[in-house]
Amino acid sequence: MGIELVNLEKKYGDFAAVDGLSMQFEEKKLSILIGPSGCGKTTTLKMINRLIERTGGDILFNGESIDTKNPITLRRGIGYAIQEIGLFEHMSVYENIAVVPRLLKWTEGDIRERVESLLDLVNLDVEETMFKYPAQLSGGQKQRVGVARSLAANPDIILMDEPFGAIDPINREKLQDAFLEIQEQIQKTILFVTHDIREAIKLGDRIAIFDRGKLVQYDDTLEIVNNPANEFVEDLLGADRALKGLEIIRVKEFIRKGEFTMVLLADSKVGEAREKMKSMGREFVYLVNPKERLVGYVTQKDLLKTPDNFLLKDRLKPTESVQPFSNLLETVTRMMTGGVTTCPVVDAHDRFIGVVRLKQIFDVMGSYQPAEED
Amino acid sequence: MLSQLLRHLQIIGIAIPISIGVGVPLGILISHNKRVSSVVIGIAGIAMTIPSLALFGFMVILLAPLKAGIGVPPAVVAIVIYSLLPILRNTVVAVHEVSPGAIEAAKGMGMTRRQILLKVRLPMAIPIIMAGVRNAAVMGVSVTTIGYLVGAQGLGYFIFNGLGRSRLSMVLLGAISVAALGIGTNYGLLKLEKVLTPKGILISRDKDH
Repeated sequence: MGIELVNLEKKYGDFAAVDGLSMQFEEKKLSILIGPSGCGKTTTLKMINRLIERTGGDILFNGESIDTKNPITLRRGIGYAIQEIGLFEHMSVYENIAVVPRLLKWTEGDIRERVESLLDLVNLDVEETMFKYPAQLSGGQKQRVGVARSLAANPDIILMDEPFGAIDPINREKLQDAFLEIQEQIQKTILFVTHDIREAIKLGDRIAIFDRGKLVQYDDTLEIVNNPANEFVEDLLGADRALKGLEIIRVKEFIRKGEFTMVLLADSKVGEAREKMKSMGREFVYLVNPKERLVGYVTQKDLLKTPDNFLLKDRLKPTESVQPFSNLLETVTRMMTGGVTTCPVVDAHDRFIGVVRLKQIFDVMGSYQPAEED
Repeated sequence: MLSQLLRHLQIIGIAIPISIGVGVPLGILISHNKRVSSVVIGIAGIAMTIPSLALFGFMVILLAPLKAGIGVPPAVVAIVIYSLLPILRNTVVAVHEVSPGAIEAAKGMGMTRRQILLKVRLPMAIPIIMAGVRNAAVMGVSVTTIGYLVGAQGLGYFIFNGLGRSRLSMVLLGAISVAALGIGTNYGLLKLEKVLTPKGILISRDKDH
């Protein structure tokens, strides 16, 4: 379901918290609302489920004003997750997730099925977690339950107000990764408020940047990173925005097959391998086992003084590798760790797919032109 | 002895349920209005500062036109007035101080005010409300002693008669049995609190301690 804001306004006396905002949130996309505190991002979010009543303008779901439903019915059709999570301590995980389905009078059988599949979705062990109480869960687990609860009645729209804001950095990363995977499966229209630009770039399909109740820039994430509209956006993105941009680009678009690399069985004889490498002009070669799994690499130098009848695996060196879904920042990091300029790409079963080269990544970074100085 | 003990229990047994019946709903009703609740709690607080002897005497005068100035009725009314404050105050605090995150989530999920009260605020508030009830009941047990002076009988009989006849053993009998009854009441209500409190809240409180 698409959401349209038409000249939306929220005034407290003379102060406009949201000042004539018009924009559209696309269906099935994760849109980020970001800006400094007091910029109107949370107020905008809460006007959509009418926790805050607007003072002007309109909000349309698929062209229809939200006023056509009473606030209670409206809210039951919209998922809501907040930083404080707000789990009900006196209810088990099951009952917490079941709240909205019960309000909507689902049958207990349907609810049970739903709770189980949601716990599965957010990567919590169904048997182990379902009848625990919030006080028995870790912070990260609680937030996963919070996310599951917001999805409980299968709403088209989900509003999230800094849902991972109170989680420690390591678990936050994990939750974000898990959440990206979840969104890939469920394809909901998600509005996500954050003040963390890294989170915004990592999660957002689109980013809306707010300042003092107005929209400063609203565009696809990559577009924002590449072409900040003004100094305000540049400052928000920070000096390392080129690196941040790398974080949203996946390796899969950069995999090279064949032209720069050679793959040999680890059981090959050194003599033959040396000949092959010479004739192809290869400095190094990746080694795989008979099941095509990457096991390491050898360089020409390593083989110089090795007798011809040795096997390649006798000189094998381990190698870093990435997967097609890894991002470029992670890939660069691994290359630096391994001290190499080429990194092999493998699938989930460690099977060799191709390589990604540092030069390609530099080419991408080259496209981030610094904004012109006035 | 037994009849005085039973009378003592009877007064408490009538007064505290009335206090709960008035205090808890009233507390819920006024809890969402800060100004009203501070006024009401203020009045209840003043009532508590009245010396108990004076309050009992006042009840005699007040209830006399109803032909109920002597006996159990003035004692019950006085105990109700005394025990209202802790119950009222704890209810207001308990209902009001349920974590704002939980309330916000409840609203956002589309619960009505009534549902939020019954399914979120009250279950979470039970331990604090019950603490107020215990407080009130234990205080009621000791204050009921004075009921003897308005003709209500009760364990005060031994204390006041013992004092009048300068018999220490009789005073002690009364005083010790009042104390024991207070401790017993507190213990019993503590058990009841454990039963009434939802399991998830018990676990979370255990963890905090």
